[in-house]
Amino acid sequence: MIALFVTFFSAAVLLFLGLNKRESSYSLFAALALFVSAGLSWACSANLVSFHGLESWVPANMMQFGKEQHLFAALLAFIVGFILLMFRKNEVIGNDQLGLMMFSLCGAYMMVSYQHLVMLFLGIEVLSIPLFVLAGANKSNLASNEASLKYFLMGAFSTGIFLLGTAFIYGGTGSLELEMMGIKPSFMHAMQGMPLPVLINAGIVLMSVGLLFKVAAAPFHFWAPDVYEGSPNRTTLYMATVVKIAAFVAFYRFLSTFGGIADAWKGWMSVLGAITILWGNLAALNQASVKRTLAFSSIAHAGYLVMFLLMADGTNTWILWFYGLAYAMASLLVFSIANQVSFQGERGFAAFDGLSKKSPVAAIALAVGVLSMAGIPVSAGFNAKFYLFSFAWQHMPWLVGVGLLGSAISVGYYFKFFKHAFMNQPSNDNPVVDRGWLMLLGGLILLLGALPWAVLNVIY
Amino acid sequence: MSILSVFNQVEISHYIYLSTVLFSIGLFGVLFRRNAIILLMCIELMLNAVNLLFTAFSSYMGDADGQIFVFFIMVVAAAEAAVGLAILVLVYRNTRKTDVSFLDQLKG
Amino acid sequence: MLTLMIFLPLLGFLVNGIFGKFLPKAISGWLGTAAVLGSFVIALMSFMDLTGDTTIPERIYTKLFTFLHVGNFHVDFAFQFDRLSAVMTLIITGIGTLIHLYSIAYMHEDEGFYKFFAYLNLFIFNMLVLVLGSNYLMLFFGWEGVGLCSYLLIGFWYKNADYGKAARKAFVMNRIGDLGLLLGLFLIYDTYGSFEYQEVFRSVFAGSVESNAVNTAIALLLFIGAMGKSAQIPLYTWLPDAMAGPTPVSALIHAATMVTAGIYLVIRSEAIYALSPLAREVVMWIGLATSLMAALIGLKQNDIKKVLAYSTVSQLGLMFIALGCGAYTAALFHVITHAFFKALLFLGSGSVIHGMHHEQDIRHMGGLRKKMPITYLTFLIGTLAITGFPFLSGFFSKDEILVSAFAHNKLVFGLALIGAGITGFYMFRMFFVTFHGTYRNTHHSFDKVHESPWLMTLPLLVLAVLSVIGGVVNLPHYLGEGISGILHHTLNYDGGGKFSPILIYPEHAPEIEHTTEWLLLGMAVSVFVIAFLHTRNKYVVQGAVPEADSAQTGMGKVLANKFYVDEAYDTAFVSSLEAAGEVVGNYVDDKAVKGLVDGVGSGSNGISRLLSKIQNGNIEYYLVYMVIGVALLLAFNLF
Repeated sequence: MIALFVTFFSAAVLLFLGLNKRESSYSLFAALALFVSAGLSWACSANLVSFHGLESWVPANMMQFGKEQHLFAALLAFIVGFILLMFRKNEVIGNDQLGLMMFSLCGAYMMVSYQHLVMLFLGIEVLSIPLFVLAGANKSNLASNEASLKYFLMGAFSTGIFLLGTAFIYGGTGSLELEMMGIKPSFMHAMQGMPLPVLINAGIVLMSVGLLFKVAAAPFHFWAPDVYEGSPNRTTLYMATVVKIAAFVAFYRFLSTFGGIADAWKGWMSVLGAITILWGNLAALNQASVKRTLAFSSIAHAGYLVMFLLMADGTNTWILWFYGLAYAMASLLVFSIANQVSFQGERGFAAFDGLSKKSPVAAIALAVGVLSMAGIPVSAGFNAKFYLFSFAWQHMPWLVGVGLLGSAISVGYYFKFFKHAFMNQPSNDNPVVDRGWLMLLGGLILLLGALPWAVLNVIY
Repeated sequence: MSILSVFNQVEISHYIYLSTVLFSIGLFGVLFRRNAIILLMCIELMLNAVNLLFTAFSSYMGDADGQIFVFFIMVVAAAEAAVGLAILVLVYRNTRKTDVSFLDQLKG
Repeated sequence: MLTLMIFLPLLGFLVNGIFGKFLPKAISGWLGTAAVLGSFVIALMSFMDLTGDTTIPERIYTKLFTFLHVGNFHVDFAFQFDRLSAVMTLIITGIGTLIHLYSIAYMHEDEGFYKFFAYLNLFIFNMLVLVLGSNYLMLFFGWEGVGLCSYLLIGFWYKNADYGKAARKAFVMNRIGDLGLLLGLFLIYDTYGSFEYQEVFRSVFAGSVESNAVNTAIALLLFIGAMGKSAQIPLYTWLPDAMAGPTPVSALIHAATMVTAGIYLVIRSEAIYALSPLAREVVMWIGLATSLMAALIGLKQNDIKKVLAYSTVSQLGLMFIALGCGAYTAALFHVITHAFFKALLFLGSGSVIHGMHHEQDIRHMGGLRKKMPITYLTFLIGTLAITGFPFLSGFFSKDEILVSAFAHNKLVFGLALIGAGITGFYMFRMFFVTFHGTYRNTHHSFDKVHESPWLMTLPLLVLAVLSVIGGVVNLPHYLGEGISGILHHTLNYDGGGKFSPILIYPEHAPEIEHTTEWLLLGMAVSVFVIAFLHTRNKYVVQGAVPEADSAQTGMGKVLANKFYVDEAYDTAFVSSLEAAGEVVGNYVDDKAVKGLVDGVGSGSNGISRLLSKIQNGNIEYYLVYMVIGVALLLAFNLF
C-alpha cells in the first residue's frame, strides 16, 4: 500500500514539476522515489515498519497488502527504478513519460494485491492505458505508431473478452470478491457428480484468456513480438518484465480461488503452456532482429511460468518472485546492452559484433545475462528454472519435459549473442557506457546463482 | 408495478442470451471491419453488452457490486477511447489512413 | 582441505581472469599450473588418508551451505571425497597438471595466453565439482560448467569460423544430452525424494520402489546425458569437430577427463543400473555400436587429431560395453589407462604439430622419428599401449573389458575384439605414416622440423612411463592373487563390513577358467600382431602413403609383391574392413547420423519459418487467431 502512495504521489509531483522539460535529473528523482517505494514495501514485508493508518483507507475486501503483496510491490518498483536509471543517459524523456510509467506501475500494484474483481479490472486498465501511450512514445516513428495502435486495439478487444468472463463469473458465483467467488464452485465440486455450471466454466475460460493475453501466452501472444519491436526500448523492457510479473501474480491469485476445481482448468492450461513454450522458442530461432528474438524468448518464459499457475494453491508464490527477479535482471542486462550498442538503429545481431574487443566488461555481462536467460548454472536463471521445474514436476511432469526441451532449443538462439559478441569483428563503434550498472547486475545474477537460498532467506 | 419488477419478469437466461448476442455482434464487427474507428465502436458494443449483463445479474441477485462495476467499465471505456482516438490521430497524421490492414510493417 | 582442493583452480581462474592482462606470460602460466598441482597434492594426501586409515569412514564430507530448503525439498551445496571421486580427482588434477605444464610451451605464442590458462583452470574447477559433488545437482553444476568451458576452449582460436561452428555444435549437442540428464534427475527426486547420492542409493538398495520400470527410465535418461558428454551414438559427432580447439585442450578435455564424465555418472549410479538389466543392455549395445563405428571411421582419417578423436570415441564405447556388462571396475580401469595413453598421444600429436609448424595432415608428414626422437619414442609407447601390446597398461584394461564381455555375451565379445583389432590398424597406420617412411611435406623443408622444448617433452615422458606401468592399479588375478585388483578392491571395499562400498552391489569376477582366459588373451594378442604386421608391411616396407591406395591394384605390382600371403589378407580381410570404414564414414556417419542431427536442426528451423509466416503483421489475422483460440477453449470446456 505504501508503495502505491509513494509512487502515485511522486508521479503526480513529477508531472507538475515542469511539463515537457527534458532533464535527466527527473529520471533520477523518479528512480529514487521508486527505490524508496521498494525499500518501504520490503520493510513492511519484513514487519520493520507498518502503515496501518494508511492501509485502513482502503476496504479490506478491495485490496489487501500482506507479506507477499509487499514483496511483489517491492520487486516491481525495484525493476522500474532500475529501468529508469539504466536508460537515463541514452535518451532523455519528458516527465510525462516518466509519470505515465509510474502510473502504470500503480496499476501493477493493484493487480498484485486485488481482493475484488473491480480492482483487478482497474489494475489491468491502469496498467495498460499508459502503456498504449508509452508504446507510441516515438511519435514520428511509424513502427512505434503501429505498435501503439496494435497494442491498443488488441488490448481493448481482450479487455472485452475479460469483462464478459467477469460478468459470467459474477452471475455464476454471485460475487466479485476473491474470497467469496471460489466457495460456490468448490462446494459443488464437493458434491460428487454435479457438473460445473456453464457460466462459471465459461467465465474462468474467458477471464483466463484476458490474462493470458497480458502475459503473452499462445495463442494470444501475437501482439507481443510486434509491439515489443516497435516500442521504445524502455517500454519494451517494462512490458517484458513488470507487466508479465504483475499479470502472473494476478492470474495466480485468480486461479488459486478456483483451486478446488483445478481439474476443470489444469488440462487445457498446461496444453497452452506447452504450446507457448514451443512456439516462443521455435519462432525465436529464426529472428534477425534482437528485440524480436527477445520478445519470443519472453513468450517462452511466459510458457514456463504457466507451470507456476498449475500449482496454484497459494503457497508457492516465492517461486514466481524469484523467477521474476532473475528474469528481470537478465532482461535488464541484455536490453540495456542492446540499447547501447544499437544506438544508430541497427536492429540485427550485428550490433553486438566484436563487443568483447570493444568492451570486455559489457561482453562478459552480456554472457552472464544470456546464460541466465537460457537457464545454465551458475546463474539466477538456472536456479529460478530449477525451482519452478522441480515443483511443477509433481503436478505435471510432461509439461516439465516440454519445458526442458524448450530450454534446449533456446540455446540455439541465445548462442547468437555469443557468436556476435565474442567471435565476430567489430562492425560499429557504438560505445557501452554504463559499465558500473552492468557489473552490478551481472554480479547480482551470479550471486543469486551461487547462493540463492541465502539471499532468499534474507529478503523473503 | 415498479420498473424493477418488470425487468425481473423476464427470465435471467434471456438477458444472458441477449448480451451474448450483442457481444458477438461486436466481436464479429471487430473481425470483419478494417476501419480502426469502426473497430473501436465495435469494441464499445462488446463492453456495453457486458454492462447489460452485469446490470441484469446485479438486479436479479439484489447485489450492488455489479452495478458499480458498470460505472467503472464506463469510465475506463471512456479513458480507453480517448487514448485510442489520440493514437489513431497520430497514425492518421503519419499514414493518412485509418485502415488497420495496412499496418504490417512489424511482422515475422 | 577438500574445499581448498576444489577452490584452488577457481582461485587460479579468478587471478588469471582478472589480473592476467597485467601479468607476464610466464607468471600466468606457472600460476595456473601451480593451482592445479596444489589440488593434485591435496588430492593425493586425502587419498592416502582415505585408503591408509581404516578409522576414517567411507568418505570425507564437507557441506558449504544449503542451496535450497523448502518444506521437505532440501538440497545442499556439499562435496564428498570417496574412493571413486578420489580416483577421478587424481586423474583430473594429475593429468591436468601435466597438460598445464605442456601448454606453457605450446601456447607461448598466443596472444590470449592468460585467458587460456584462466579457462583451463575454470575447467578443472568444474570438473572437480562434477566428480566431488555429494549429490546429483552438484554433478549437474559441474556437468554444465565443463560443457561451457569446453565450448570456450574449443572456440579459443575464434578467428576461424570453423572453430566457432564446432564450438556451437558441441554446446548444442551437449544440451540435448543435458535434457535427458535433467529429466533423469527430476525423476530421481520424484522417486527417491532426494538428490544426495547416499540417500538415493540407500533407498534404491532398500527396494523402496516396487517397479523397476522407474529405475529403467532413470537409468536410460541418465544414459542420454552420458551419451552427450561421452560422445556415444548418436550424439558423438561433436567430438571429432571439437578437435578444432588447441591440442592441449583436446588432450585434457576431449580425451582424458570431460568425456569420461559419462562413465563416472554411470559408475556413480551403479545402484540404479544394477536394478535395470534392460538399461544395461542398451548401454552395452550402444557402446558396442559406437566403438565399432568410430574405429571403422578412424581407418580413413588423415588428420592426425581426427584419428585420435575417433579413437577416443571408440575407446569410450569400449568403456560403455564394460559398464553394460556390469564390469564397473574394468570400465574405471580403462578410464585411467586411457587417460594416460590418450593424453600422451594427443600431447605427442601436439608436439608433432608444433614441430611441423601447424601441419595436421599425416600425408604431409613422414620420417619424423629422426627429427623428434623423444616424441617418436613416447608416441610409440602410447600407440603400443592403446593397441594392447602385452603388459602395457592398455593391454590389461582392454583385456579385462574383453573378458567381462566374453562372460556376458560371446557375440559382444567377438565384435569388441574386432573393434580392438581395428584400433591396431588405424593407430599403427597413423604412427608409421607419421614417423616412418620419407618426409613428404612441400611447404616446410625437413630441416625446419624440430623437437619440442623440454616443457613439452617432460609431460610426454611422464605420461609414457604411466602408460607403461599404469596397469599395476588393477592387475588381473591370473597373474597371482597377491598383487591383483587394487582398483577392484577400492571400489568394493567395505571397511571390514563397517560401511557400504562404492559399488552397492558388489561385483563378481567373471567366472571363467584360467585356460579360457589365457585363450582370450592369446586372441587379443594375435589380433594385435596381425594389425601390427600388416600396417608395418604396408606403410613401412612398401612405403605406401594413404592417398596411393588405389594405385596399388595394378597387376604388375601384385606379381612383384613378395608378400603374397599378406596381399591375400589385404584383399580378403583388410580391404573389406577398409571398405566398411569408407561406407560407415560416408554413409552412416555423414548421411544417417549427421542427417538425423542436422534434420532436427533444419526441421526446427522450418517450423520457425512457418511460425514467422503466421506472424504476418496484419492485426486482422491476429484477432481471428485469438477468436479461434477462445472458441476452441470454450468448445473444449463446455461441450
